[in-house]
Amino acid sequence: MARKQRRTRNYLIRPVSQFKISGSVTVLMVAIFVGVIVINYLKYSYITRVMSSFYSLNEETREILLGIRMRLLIADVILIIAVSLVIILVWIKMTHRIYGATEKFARLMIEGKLEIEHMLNNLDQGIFTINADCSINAQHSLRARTLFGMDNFQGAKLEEIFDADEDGVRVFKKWVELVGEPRFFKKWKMYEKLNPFRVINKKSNGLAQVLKVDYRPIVTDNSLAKIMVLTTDITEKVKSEKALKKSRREQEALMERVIALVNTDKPAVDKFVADIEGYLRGFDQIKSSKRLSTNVTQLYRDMHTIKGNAGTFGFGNLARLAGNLEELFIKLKTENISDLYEQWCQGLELFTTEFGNITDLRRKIFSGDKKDRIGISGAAYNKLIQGISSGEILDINQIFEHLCNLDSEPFGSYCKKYQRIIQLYREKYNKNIEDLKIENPEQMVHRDIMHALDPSMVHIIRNAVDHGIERNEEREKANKAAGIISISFESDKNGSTLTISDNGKGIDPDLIAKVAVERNLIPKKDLAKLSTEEKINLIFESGLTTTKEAGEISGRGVGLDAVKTYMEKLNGSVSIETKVGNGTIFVLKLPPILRENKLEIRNKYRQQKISIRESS
Amino acid sequence: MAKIIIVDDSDYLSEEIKIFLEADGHEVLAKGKDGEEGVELYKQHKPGLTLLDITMPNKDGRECLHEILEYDENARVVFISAVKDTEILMECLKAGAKGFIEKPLKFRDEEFCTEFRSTIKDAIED
Repeated sequence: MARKQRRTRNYLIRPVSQFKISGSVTVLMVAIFVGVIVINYLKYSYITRVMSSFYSLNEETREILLGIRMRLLIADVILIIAVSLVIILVWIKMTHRIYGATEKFARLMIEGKLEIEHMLNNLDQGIFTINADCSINAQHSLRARTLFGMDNFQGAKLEEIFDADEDGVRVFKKWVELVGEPRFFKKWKMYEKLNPFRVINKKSNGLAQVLKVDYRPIVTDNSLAKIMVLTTDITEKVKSEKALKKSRREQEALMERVIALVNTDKPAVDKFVADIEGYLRGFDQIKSSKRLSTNVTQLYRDMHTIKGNAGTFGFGNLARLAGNLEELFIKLKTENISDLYEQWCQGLELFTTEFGNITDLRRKIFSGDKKDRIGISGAAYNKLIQGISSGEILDINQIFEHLCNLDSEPFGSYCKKYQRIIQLYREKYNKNIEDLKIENPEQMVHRDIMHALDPSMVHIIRNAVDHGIERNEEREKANKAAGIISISFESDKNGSTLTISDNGKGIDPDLIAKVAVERNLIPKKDLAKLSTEEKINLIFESGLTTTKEAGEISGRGVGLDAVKTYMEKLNGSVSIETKVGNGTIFVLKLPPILRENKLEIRNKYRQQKISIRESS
Repeated sequence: MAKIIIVDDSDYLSEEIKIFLEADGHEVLAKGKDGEEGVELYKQHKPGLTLLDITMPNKDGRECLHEILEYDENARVVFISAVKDTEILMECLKAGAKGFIEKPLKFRDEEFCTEFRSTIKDAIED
């Protein structure tokens, strides 16, 4: 820019300079003067020649001629003076005008320069220049002062300017050296990228600033003379972008919560919420004592279950936060609790906040629900009413049976969640698995039974998707069609039985045994004594997983041991049948607790009826 | 169109680059996995252009460049580099590399591809 100005000034001034104009005028004047003298000389010499031929003329005539010559001479002198005067006048007039023009140009130029300075100073960019030897020049725009918080740029240190350490400045100097070569500064856009200070995070006057810095080459005579540094304050832009991103994330999180709540049936959410509340209450104790005295494995296992459930319901954010807490538990195995306590509290805080968001939203969405209401199956209710009105149901026992089934639902309607697990992860892991096969979807199941079985179901189905069904290449190699996971439910007087089977790779008893030995779950010497069945049952031991990398779905050795613990708590059982290459069948059994209750009620009712009859 | 060798420890990346270059009509003579292999491949094929990764096992890109230039001072070498390797990259450029391609390779980005092509073109015509 400075270079261009200088050139412009030279161009404006030179053509109107005094010397050139006055020189030409002088030449013109001298030429006219000489011309007049030459003409006069010729004239006089002619007259003299004529006169000399008239020498014989008389005295009187000679005097007359002399008089004419005198007058001619006077006239000539007057003429010369007049011409000179005219020339001088013209000259004065011209130079005056030219001087005026020069002044005008000079004024314009100063105005222009001021205007440019003004513009530069009011630009959003702070501008200064760096020489090829990395020294900084004094000239700068006013904005540069405020951006960099300094008044004097001459001799300023690069460390100060860029708020950088020695290493940063060393790289910068290397860059200046690099772009000093023509082959690099000619492709400025490309090599500008290598500059380490294209965005500076600067602290000036206690304010955090984000500055975007652009560099422009100033080239003279095919070498890099200077680098112009144009700096823009993008703090606000970065801030607003961050805010926008944050609000978008919040919107997405809210959307995710709403979708998860709406898609999950209410009793399941209720149970999920109650579970977490219980878990968090347990943690309050730990917080007050600042010590993890409770069984860490149990806490870890519960958090793992919460993570899994949150994931399958679709509370992605909660699942992520639970995952973080789970990671901390894994660290607990090797690290000291006091080192992790702060981290734990932070993680728990985030988890609790997100959980609070979910429960708030749940209240809003399900605000119409009251505690004294229970949900009954529409299908079961309609069946009862239709049965009575059509006369199909006559017996009081039949009515009772139907009444007891009012809060039962067809098995199939509970299974949407499991179908969703399969859908979610077959896409994610690109496994060819068919939709969940439900053997007897019409079978009525009481929701208490279903809720008792649910956590185990989730674990087993996730295991089947993750470990059971092989990857596509493996299945193709083994000449197997798509993976199938099927479930069936049966209920009789002996209790309820839920069967989950898959046509995956099955469980290799020797592999399980090998891993169990590696994990020190059983001593090596006992290995030979174990039967195949015993080996397979090792899968229910805590801390066993056969996948090398723990997946998001399952793994880390938590899962099947949790299923076993859980089923035993309900006085139920879990068993497994498997054949390598053919697949695995899990059988979950529950004792007839609920049915017994109902039978009791019915017997009580009958007795009362009898006693009423007898008394009347 | 040039005869090119690619030296990068990531097989996946070199394959991606190969596909891109071949689609543009270049001929990829060979792919190397480390600096040592890079130098050998250069001596064997004497390609018109060599694409070099910076961080590689055995011999890194810088050493590899020096050996190639020692063997053939007119060798055309273009680096494939992440911006975090700036300092080494700048040294290599000063030492005689003809240009660089920025990692990550965004072959789906129009602008990136244009830049990639022009870097290759400039290096070949240099």
